[in-house]
Amino acid sequence: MTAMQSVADALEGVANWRSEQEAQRQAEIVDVESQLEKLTAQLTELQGKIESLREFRAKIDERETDEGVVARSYDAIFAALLGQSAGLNDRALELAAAEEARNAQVLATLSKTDLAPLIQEYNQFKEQVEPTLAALPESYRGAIIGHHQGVVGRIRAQLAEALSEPIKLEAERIEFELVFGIDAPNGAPELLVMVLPVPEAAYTDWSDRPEDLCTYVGARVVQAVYEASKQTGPVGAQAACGGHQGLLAIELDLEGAKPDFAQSLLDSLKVVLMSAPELAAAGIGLTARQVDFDLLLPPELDEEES
Amino acid sequence: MLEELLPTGLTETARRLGVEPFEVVRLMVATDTVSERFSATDDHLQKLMSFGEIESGWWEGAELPDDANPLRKRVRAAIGLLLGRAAGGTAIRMDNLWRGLGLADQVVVEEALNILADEELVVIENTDSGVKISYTAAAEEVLRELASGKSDVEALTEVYQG
Repeated sequence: MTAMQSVADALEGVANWRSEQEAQRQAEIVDVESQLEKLTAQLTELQGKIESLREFRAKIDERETDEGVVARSYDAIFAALLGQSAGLNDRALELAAAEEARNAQVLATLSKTDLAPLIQEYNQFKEQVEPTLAALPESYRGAIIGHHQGVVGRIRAQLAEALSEPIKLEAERIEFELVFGIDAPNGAPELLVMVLPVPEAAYTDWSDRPEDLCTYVGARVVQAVYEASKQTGPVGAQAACGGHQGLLAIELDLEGAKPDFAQSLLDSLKVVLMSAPELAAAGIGLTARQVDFDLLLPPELDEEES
Repeated sequence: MLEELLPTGLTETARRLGVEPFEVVRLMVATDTVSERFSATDDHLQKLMSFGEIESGWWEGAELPDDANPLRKRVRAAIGLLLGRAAGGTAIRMDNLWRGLGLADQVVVEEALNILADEELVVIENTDSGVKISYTAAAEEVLRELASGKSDVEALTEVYQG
């Protein structure tokens, strides 16, 4: 006979099954919640890393476009020009030595020309007459000085003729560069800054040092600046010169200058530098290179301005 | 001895004019008289001096006011010179006011005049002949008080401290 089960037992079986199912469901929920919690934590960490990387990327972008290029370019330009200024100074010394030797030779040979009597007279005046001039009556003094000036004039003229040709230095030609930038934030030129391969002492100590090739490089560039200003303004141009990083720097306020000042300056530089006899005789060339204005400003100043 | 008869160049021209070498260059360009090595004959020098309105000797015989501060004494005297030379609104060449002084005094006078320009008591302008300075009638009384020592300008204090 088949075993029979009461309805109560049957329903108890169902209740047991339901309890087991509920326990299993609760266990699965705990497991899923745990996994969700872990993944959320990992996601938060990853989002933090993404944000950090984005910030780092922005810093890299900023460094590449501003500090990196501008600061390095500034350093590179001035290092190159400082090196060139040393080279120019060396060439200036060579030229000065050659000029001194030629002057001595011309002076020595002068006394063997038909000027010999005049030179003897000049020397006699300097050694014997000049010290006694103060004791002479004014009319005598005036006559003697007048005659002496005539002697001086004739000797000077002869010397000038003998030394009229610049010395041709037997040396390898060297090319130098100057750089300039024009600030024109609103389109119109406002300020010119030039930096030359010339030691600043050529300008700042001009009264205490003999003029030399460095003096003339500076002077010829200044000449070109003023020639350009005559063509395109500004009216009454007045350059401010001084030293920067040991080099001669020139600034010019360009308020009122025409927009094509830069081209005018390049043209003037070309004409003046190519035709300067003392530069050609020294065996040097000088070319102008226009650069972005910011590259000529010290990095800290550039940051302040931007 | 004959060395002193050798041809001269830019530096000697600057010394004879009493200006710095690059001002010689500017004047020669302005007058279309750029010479070889920027040297100048006596006539050329006269032309440059005339064009540039360069004068010297303004301090010869000039009386300095009594002042315990030697820098203020010099500045007050310079303002006095300015009042006399630029009377009636005349613009005068600015470096004439310190030409002939020692380097330290030159710097002090130039700095003081630039400060007076910032204070709008004098007007400094670039012209073809050079940098010029003038003063307006409105500023005259203040400048006279400065020259006499009756008043002072706060901004000049730093100059007086050297």
